[in-house]
Amino acid sequence: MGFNILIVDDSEVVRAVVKKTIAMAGIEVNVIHEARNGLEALEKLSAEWIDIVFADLRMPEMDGLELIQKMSENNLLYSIPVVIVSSDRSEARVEELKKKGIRAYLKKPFRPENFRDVVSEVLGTTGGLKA
Amino acid sequence: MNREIFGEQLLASSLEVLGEATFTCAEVVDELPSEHGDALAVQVDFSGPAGERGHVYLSMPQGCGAELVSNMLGVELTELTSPEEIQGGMCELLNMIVGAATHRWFGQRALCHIGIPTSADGGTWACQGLSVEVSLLTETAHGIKLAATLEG
Repeated sequence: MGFNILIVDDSEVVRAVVKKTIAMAGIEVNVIHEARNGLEALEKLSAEWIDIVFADLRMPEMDGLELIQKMSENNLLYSIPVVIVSSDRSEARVEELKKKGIRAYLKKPFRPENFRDVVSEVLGTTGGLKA
Repeated sequence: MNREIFGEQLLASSLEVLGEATFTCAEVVDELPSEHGDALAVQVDFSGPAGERGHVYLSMPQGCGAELVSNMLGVELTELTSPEEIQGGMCELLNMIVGAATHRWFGQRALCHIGIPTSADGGTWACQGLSVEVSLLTETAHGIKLAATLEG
């Protein structure tokens, strides 16, 4: 039985690249769901069982930061691990987001082994986004 | 901001992203090929920690964009049929290039803001004549132009 994964990014290209990279990484997948922004992601999270979320930071309508905040305030969603996938490489940004509860941060451009390591690390441990 | 040094950061970041995300080698050239009637362009804004601001363009022929995006997505060239699809991929390339360039320019801990990349008017090298310019030639002899305006 593989993982149910949610990819959140306003760019169709990025969602496709992340899907391809997850496949190349050899990660066992049951279903990959997609959302174009934080609002759509919250709808998917409410309707589907999701094991891990890969989300961009900058998106229209609801960005990644607000998505993390909303998830941390929701008793059903706070324990779902969120991994931010972004081209922002600032170490201060990564620290700020980890304080807000993200489980890992993947900097673009990424490689399949980056995804494999993160999934292994994140889904092999417990914890979540509790505010 | 020192335009010359930012140009060097933009160049280094472009070569890094083209290599890692699209498996494409490129070299710096003084002059780009003149055949670029079908050029596509994308653009993005960024701001630095002390209020510095910049606007970066990426422009290339549609065929070059298709090559790079097909490499990035791992799909056949024939699967990329619309300029919008190619521009979507170019937006992501520019996003990664500017992310790497601002990291190099402002430092590892600096909090920068990079906007959402959008398409720009193409047709010719849309970004010609700006204060920072980088011209690259890919291994398949396509020209790529990056250019930026900087404030602060």
